[in-house]
Amino acid sequence: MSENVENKKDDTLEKIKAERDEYLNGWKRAKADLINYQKEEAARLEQVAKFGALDIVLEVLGILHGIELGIKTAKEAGKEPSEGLLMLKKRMEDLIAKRGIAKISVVLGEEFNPEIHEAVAVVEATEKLKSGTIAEVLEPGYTMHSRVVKASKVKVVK
Amino acid sequence: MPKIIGIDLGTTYSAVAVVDKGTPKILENSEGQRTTPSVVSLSKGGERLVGVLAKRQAVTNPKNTIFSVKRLIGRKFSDPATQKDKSLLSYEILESKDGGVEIKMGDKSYKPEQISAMVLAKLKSDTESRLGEKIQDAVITVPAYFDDSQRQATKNAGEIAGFNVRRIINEPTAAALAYGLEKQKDEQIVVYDFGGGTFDISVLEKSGDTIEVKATGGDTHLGGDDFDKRIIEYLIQEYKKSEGIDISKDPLAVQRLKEAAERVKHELSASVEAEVNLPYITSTAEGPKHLLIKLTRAKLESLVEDYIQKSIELVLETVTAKQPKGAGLKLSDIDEIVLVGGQTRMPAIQEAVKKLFGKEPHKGINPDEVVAVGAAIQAEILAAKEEGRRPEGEVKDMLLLDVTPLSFGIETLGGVFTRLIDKNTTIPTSKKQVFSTAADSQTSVEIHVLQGEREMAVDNKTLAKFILDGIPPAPRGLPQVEVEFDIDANGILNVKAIDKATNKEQSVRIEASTSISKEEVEKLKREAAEHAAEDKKKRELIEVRNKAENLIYSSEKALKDAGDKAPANIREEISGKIKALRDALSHNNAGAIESAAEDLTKTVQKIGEAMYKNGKPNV
Repeated sequence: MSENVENKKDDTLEKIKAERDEYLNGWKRAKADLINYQKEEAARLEQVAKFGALDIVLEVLGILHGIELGIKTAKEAGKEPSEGLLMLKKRMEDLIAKRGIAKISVVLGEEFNPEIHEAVAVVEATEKLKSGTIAEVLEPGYTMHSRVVKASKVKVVK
Repeated sequence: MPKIIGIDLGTTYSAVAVVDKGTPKILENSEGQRTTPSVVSLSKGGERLVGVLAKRQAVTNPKNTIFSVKRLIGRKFSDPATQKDKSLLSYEILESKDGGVEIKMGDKSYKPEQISAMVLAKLKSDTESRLGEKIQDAVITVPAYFDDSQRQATKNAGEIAGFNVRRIINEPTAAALAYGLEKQKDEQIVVYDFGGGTFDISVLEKSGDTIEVKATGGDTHLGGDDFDKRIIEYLIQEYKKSEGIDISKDPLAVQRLKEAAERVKHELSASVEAEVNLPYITSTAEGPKHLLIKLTRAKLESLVEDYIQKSIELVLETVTAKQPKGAGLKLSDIDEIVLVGGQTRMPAIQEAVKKLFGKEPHKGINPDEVVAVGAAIQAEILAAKEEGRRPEGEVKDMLLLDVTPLSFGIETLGGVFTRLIDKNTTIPTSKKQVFSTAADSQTSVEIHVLQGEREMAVDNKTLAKFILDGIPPAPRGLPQVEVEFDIDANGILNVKAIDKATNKEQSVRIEASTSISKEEVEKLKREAAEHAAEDKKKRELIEVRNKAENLIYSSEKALKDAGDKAPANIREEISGKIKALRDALSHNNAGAIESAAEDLTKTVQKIGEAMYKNGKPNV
């Protein structure tokens, strides 16, 4: 009889111990989860701060490209582009530079590199144009905090 | 505890997800994108490229750029589907010795699973660098209509990429898992998956612990890209009509049109009108030409009406046709509808599906990511089973944390209810706020603890009242009384008030503060909503009154402090304005009180001006 009671006591004690461990574990886990979450959140916020404006930046780059085309078209027609247009272009370039955005420089004749270039058309090779090189830049590419956010759109020699 | 990831290996794009602390999340690739193009190429220099890099060089190297390999995997070369695709692919495919398909890339031939393995290998290495650990195990999804050979080939692709493929699951099943439909009672589910290049319908039956595919249908050559093409064609035509110029041959113009078409399509999911604005699209002898075309949502819908109609007919057929062609069900038998694929963001599609079934489809999860999310959930279920634990996410459901159904707070000056703990706050929780006295030399404060959603204390339920006394006499607003609310996990509320100067404290314990019946909570919330506008007005009036009374107090004090130094005419003027403000207060009109208060504020400043003027020569 008394052994039974003892056994029961032991069982209860074991059960309570197990429960205690489970709760303590759960508590530790919850605390750790929170700390880890805070760390991840901090890292995520840093990314958001860096790239959060990406959507609008891409829109602005589209507008800037329009302005650049305007200037190019004027020059090709042998006209001076309007001073206002040049000023607008400058202002936009300043604006994006402040956001950590840099134009990818492309030299005609350099080798095509899909890390920074996107081929949108091909042209036939000639004596001057070596195969696999860039024949023309159609739209400039950009990096943001050294990540390519828009590849330069180029014509590539076949 | 090694992680198992979920992979949606798509025809055009692939995505990876993992369950982390109970929440599935998409893992970005090394280029920072949430999805990776399922494209592989061998560059002219002999370098193997995968993903966006392969896509970027596609036009320079069409013969060695392999896309849509999912259309070929596990198929026989003689399969009519293979023959149909053959004519659409820019790369060369051959028959292998065993009658399967081989793809030429560079000098070598590859099996489709080897190409898929290259995509998977990139996903694997990007995931490893993102998570900072080695990944071995994966769950990969395939379309529901994939046969054994296609499933086996997909599994082989995973193994070649170095994965231990724990399970191949159906894409629609993954989508259903993402919405937690496996936890529902037995039911019939339709998954409508409109991706970039393919359109799939699946009818699933959830019964007991299993989700079974009852029927599949769709069109493997209909996708969101077709919608884009229609928009581009329309823009080219419109431009031809208005300007007489064909821009379809100019690569830069076409490139810009492509981007603009995609953008305008996305915009029209959110707004009813959008504009395609492409300056300097081309130039003629007369000078530069621009493209400016307005597109309405209705116009877009009319452009792609036949596609939507076709998709709905296919749904109807797949659900109602007799087996094996369809599921042999009535439309009314369908309990749940899940939308998958980016094109399902289009309101006309959502509307058409809703109209067909007469019920709202599930669409909360990003439709480009929902399959990968479901695969990750399946992966977590597997991992948990092996480790003998409950899947994360369910663990949280086990440890039930309550929320407070109503807000808690105290009554402050003018009978306003000031909330300390908002409704729906997860408990246990605590919150402190410092309050002060309303009158000069006030030595005690009454803490009136309330619960409810109304703006005025009198409309809420009193839980307790107690008095903190022994505050040293001081001008009003100076003493600091910190009030702390603490609700423990059992819903017991402790309210404590401490005078920061003397550290004297008083507290009250309220048992079962959260145990209000559901009906009562609903009733109180309803009342609060009904009275919201009127309550807000009342509260604002009191805030204006409190400010005005403070202003009178400080103006009188300023008058007293300045004494004779302020000229008599100014003193009189201020006294007059104080009287006017008092009058306004007695009429209880917020506008009148505010303007009288503003008047007084301006006049009081004259004291300072006059004193500085007088003092000037002495400086």
